[in-house]
Amino acid sequence: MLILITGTSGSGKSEYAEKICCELAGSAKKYYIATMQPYGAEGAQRIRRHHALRQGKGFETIEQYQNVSKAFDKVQTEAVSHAAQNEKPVVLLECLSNLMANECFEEGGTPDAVFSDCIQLYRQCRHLVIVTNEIFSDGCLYDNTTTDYITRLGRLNTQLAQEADCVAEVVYSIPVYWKGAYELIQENLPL
Amino acid sequence: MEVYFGGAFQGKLDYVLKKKGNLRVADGKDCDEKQLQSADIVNHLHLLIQRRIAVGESTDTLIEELYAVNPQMILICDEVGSGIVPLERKDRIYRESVGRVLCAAVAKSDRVERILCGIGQCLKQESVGITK
Repeated sequence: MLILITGTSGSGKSEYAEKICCELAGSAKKYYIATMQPYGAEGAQRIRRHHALRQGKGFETIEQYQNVSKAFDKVQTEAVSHAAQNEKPVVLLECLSNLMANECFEEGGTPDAVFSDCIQLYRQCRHLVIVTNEIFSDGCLYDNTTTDYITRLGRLNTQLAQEADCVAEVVYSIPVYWKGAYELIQENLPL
Repeated sequence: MEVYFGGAFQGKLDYVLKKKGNLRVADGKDCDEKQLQSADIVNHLHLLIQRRIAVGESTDTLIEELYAVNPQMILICDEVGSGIVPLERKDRIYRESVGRVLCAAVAKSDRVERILCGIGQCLKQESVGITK
């Protein structure tokens, strides 16, 4: 399944996405693709908080700041590339707002390719849970560069939602399903 | 009247056009009065509100005016109220007005949907729920 999780800052969307991943994986291998570059003390602290949240949940972390379709190149995953569908890993990709920023503003970025990168990544997964971010309702006018970034993230969210089996907005830890349903995820749990 | 709102860049106009077919769209960003009055759809309603406020006009009766012209009018608007309260008085009035105008639009509408990631959620209609 492809699952898109969105929500505002501090909504509990990461925790919910982790919960879904753990359920979908059961005892199988789980990967966490981290897209956030550790800038400064605040960034480092944010990452530590996410680390602590994942602690003990059995995720193997891959740091991939751009081009997420290549995330598995970094790990020894003969098994990933040739695995049968039900042996492929369950993956949590977090989060699209960082990924798109890295693709838009960092050297070597390919912002036009983010959607196809995500789809290519999904082909290598049994289930892919993607966390994105609600940054579209502050009513502020930004410079062209920032507006381009927001436009791209909005379009990416819309494109991925179209492909996704489930789209859930997490509102202060309450999941609101815009597409699919939690029951659909339950039907896909490992035996 | 119908109203569709949501965050910026969520595919709202595409969603409405796909659902309703090819209708006459006036863009709140730059439409004139004539285009506005003959439109089936007013897109970027928030920008129309912003333009009116910029020239010192009130938007208190905007929805009544549009409804009087065309009670079937479809309005599409960004939600703009989630950020920090702006420093500039004009910006504060703008944000507040978008909220008030949407309240008035919702009151007049027999269908209200909120769009997120290109998906509509019906907030007002006989049956409430996610729409296909």
